[in-house]
Amino acid sequence: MNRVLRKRILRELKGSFTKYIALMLLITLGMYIVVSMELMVMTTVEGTAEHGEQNCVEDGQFSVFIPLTDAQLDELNDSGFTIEKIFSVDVDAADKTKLRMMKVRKSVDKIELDEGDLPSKSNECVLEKLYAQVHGLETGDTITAAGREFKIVGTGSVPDYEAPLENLSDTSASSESFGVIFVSDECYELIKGEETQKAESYTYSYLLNGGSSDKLKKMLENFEFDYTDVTDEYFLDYISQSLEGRSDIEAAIDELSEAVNELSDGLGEISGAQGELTDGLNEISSQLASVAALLGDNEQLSAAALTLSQATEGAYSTSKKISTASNDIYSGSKELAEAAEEFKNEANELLDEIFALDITNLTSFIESEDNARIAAAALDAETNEDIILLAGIIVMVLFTYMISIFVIHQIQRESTVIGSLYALGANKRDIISHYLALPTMVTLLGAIAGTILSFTPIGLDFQMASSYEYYSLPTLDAVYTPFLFIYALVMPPVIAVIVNYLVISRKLSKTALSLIRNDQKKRSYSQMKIKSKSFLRSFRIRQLLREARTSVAIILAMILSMLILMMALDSYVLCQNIKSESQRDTLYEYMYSIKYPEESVPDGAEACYALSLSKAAYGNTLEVSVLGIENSNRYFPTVNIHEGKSAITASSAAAQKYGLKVGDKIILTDETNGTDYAFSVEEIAEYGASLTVFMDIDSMRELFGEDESYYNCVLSDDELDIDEGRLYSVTTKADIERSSSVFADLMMSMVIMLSTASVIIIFIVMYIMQSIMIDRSSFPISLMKTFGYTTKEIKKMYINGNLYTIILGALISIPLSKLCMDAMYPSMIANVACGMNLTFPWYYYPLIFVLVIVFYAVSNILLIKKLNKITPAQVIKNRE
Amino acid sequence: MYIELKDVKKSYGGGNYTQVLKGITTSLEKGQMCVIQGTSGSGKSTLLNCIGGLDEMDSGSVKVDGREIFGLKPNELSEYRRENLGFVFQLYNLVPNLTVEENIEVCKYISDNPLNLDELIDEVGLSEHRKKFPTQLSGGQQQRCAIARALIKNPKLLLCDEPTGALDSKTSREILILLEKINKIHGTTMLIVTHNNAIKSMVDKVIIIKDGTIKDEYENEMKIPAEKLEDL
Repeated sequence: MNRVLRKRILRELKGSFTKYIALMLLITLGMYIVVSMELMVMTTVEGTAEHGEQNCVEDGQFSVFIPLTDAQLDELNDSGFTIEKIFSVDVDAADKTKLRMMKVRKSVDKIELDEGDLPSKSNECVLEKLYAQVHGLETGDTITAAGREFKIVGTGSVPDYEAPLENLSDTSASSESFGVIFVSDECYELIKGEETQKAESYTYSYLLNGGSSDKLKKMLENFEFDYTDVTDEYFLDYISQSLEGRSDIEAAIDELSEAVNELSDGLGEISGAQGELTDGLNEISSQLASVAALLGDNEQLSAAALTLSQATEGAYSTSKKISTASNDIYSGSKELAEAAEEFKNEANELLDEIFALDITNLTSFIESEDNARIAAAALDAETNEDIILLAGIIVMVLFTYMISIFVIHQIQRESTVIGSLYALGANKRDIISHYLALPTMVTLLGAIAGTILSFTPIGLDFQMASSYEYYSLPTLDAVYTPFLFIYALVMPPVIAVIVNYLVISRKLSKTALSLIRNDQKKRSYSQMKIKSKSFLRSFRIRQLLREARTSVAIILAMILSMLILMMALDSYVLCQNIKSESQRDTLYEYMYSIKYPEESVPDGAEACYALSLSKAAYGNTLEVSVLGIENSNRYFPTVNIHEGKSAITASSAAAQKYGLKVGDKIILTDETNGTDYAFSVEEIAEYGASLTVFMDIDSMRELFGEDESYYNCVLSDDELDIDEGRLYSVTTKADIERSSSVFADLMMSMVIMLSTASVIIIFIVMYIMQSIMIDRSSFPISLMKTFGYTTKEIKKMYINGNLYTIILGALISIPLSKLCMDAMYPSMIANVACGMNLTFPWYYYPLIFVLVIVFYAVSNILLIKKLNKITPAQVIKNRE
Repeated sequence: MYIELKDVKKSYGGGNYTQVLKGITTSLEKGQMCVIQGTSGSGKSTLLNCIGGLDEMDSGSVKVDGREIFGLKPNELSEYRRENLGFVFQLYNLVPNLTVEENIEVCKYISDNPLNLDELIDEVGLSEHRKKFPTQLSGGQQQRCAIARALIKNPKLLLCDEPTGALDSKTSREILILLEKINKIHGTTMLIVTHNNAIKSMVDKVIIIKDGTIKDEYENEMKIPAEKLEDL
């Protein structure tokens, strides 16, 4: 029997070709989007991992004040770590864009050339590919950097600048303004020695080779570091400024100590002289006594000598007392000197504590998983993988459910035939498998077509295009696993079988007689009582109830397509909001990040204390800028600062990203030393330019152990005359505006693709589902025509009622999909350090609603043709 | 004449060309009940459909109340059916998800001068069943409902295609009595296509068709009331 029935399948397909093709197109579209995105995820994740391994991607990197000594490097190598110097200097290109100049790497984060060779001469360079691409530069061209002309001998990428962020805390990368250039060792040494260059950055990348990063970090922290070894004049200047107060106190203590010693010495001398005086007096007294004895004959002289001797003895006795007292004073002064020495030592220790510069050589230590530049594309792609796979299943369930409605209509139409077949001995399994065959076949064909499309240039290449435009990636070959093919080719037909089986099984469980009679259920929601007095209204309600299943499918499809549209619109508005908020909230023209600040803040500038801490959100660790400012800072008029070491004012961007409210606690981590800082959100300020929290600058200095005038960032309206050697970087308002526009430009293709897909889905679904409704009602419509109804009137009765479904669907799906997408969206871009302002302008909602109604109207116009094709004669044909 | 047919021809198919009506010419007075009889495939239903404007004839002329049907556009045909015709089918063709009352209202809605719904429902004996759906009715009740639906817009011409074809003899008699009653009360012209030989005894005119042509046609002078028909 199945063999005979099978012949019907193609005939049925031919008979309803347009509808099945449209449904297949939907499945093809759905699978094309889902499979191409999943293919992009696999290719990016697996491909970048493979290339990363080939190019020895680092396990982490650290920066230091002064380069490690050879002995220290040997010690690290002996401990099993591979260390690569990735020192750099930032130089200006001729077009004022910034280039980070480095030597060619030897063993870690190696360059993968897309074309050309590595530089061998001092006038040759390899340019990071994205910068080269954006600036229209190719191998063989020349580029001016640091005032010198270089021949580009190759372009390529390095794994530690996959996301070519200028600073790790940057929201986005912009190759229009920043790139990486690799030159020969000789050339690098030449350029870094030039006075006009900014400070050299001493960064090392490392491979753990099975060791632990904790061990490496401890070793680095324990390395001896004498800041006096640093040769950088600005560093030394900065150190001496910081130590100026300490020197004064030390000098005063030294003076005090010296004075006490002098006093002690003086008293010692007095004590000694007093002893000599006493001894002299004693001797004089003895001599006078002898003289008195010799002058015994001369009574007068003898008596005078005796008197003199007695007086001298009295003087001696007094002198002896003075001598004893002066000895006491001397020994007291000695004790004072010892105490002074002790005081000096104690004072030095106290000064060490007070003037703790915390100068270990290590300035930063970042493991690769915390480095926003590394494996960024994979992380970006991977973040959405689960959502993509789930979306694919939901799409398939919905589309196959739509097919099942079509099949149910067919079963109802063929009820008497099925009943007859049952009566002739066919079993339910045969009939079910027959009715499952076509939907399964259509789904499979749609899935195959979608999968094939995914592998064509409009599939993977299109999906990868945005990654290649934003990330500096080597050219990746398509990576696909058996899972992808199972998902793409097995999952859809399996879902088609399950959904259709569940839906049609009950329909085919009736008795043969019941099917032959085409019995309807005695009680059903479509037979409910309607109290309306208006015939037309009652009729439409009946029709809606009869087509409730189709209406549900339309509403579900509307929710799905609205979700896709909301994903597109959320992406669009987020990018636009980032752009507009960055421009609105960046009130300064120049931001100088200072490595070695001068004692006084440059005139006309606002000093700030900026620090990058990190905070995890949705499984990703992101940099949060802690900015210490004064309440009067003119560049942050919306920010009220609260005093206190734990008090912060969160920017609206940070509040959106981390879901912060006033009174919340937030813990930010200093990755370099692993310290957690707990803050209390005192206020939320309207500031969307970056993930920033604001602190009172004095409280921040106190919290992070800096002196009361410390700053490391200045903001100004005009360009400042700060020596390049003191600077980390200079960011202009134009740079910020450019980088805030990057997302908007990058996301536009995806926004267009998703919006188009959404429109296609909603339109096809509306058309097909209404078309199915008309098919199901073709007999009564024909009957109505027999009675004399015009097409216009029939349209009113059978189609126009669907407007209620569409309005209801739109009223449900627009806010619901917005709510759902707003809840899901933050996790989709968890790795992007930006605010999460997904607020639409109010008019978007009515606009979407109007668009839905327009699509409905257009599909209705197309359906009129279908209504016209139904003739009154069908009533007769049906009977015959 | 209320209905005038002149040389009505109709054929089906392209390759397998079949001429179903081979030039029918006949007429009917206003208020007459007429039976068209013939074997299966003789062309009687096709003739009915051509008169009703459901099927397009190839040539000839059909005039109803002086109005030519041949060549009318679909909208004009709709208007013609709306203003003049009521249809009753063998399989009732009720809309399954509408109640008795609502099924009848389907035609009331498009009529400028409809009959009173309650009176009509009472007239066809469905007062107790007016809130029921077709699946809750017997065959006879469904056909009563279909007749009421056809009559609600007070048509001048009622076309019945095998109105008793799916009914037992008792129910068939009830339906025929109803049609007779309506003819008397409303003066409705009726064309009834039927296999049933007995029905021709109750009508004013009989047309017998064979192979697309009128084999016999006569006025029935000895009408028998429906309730007295035998062998239904």
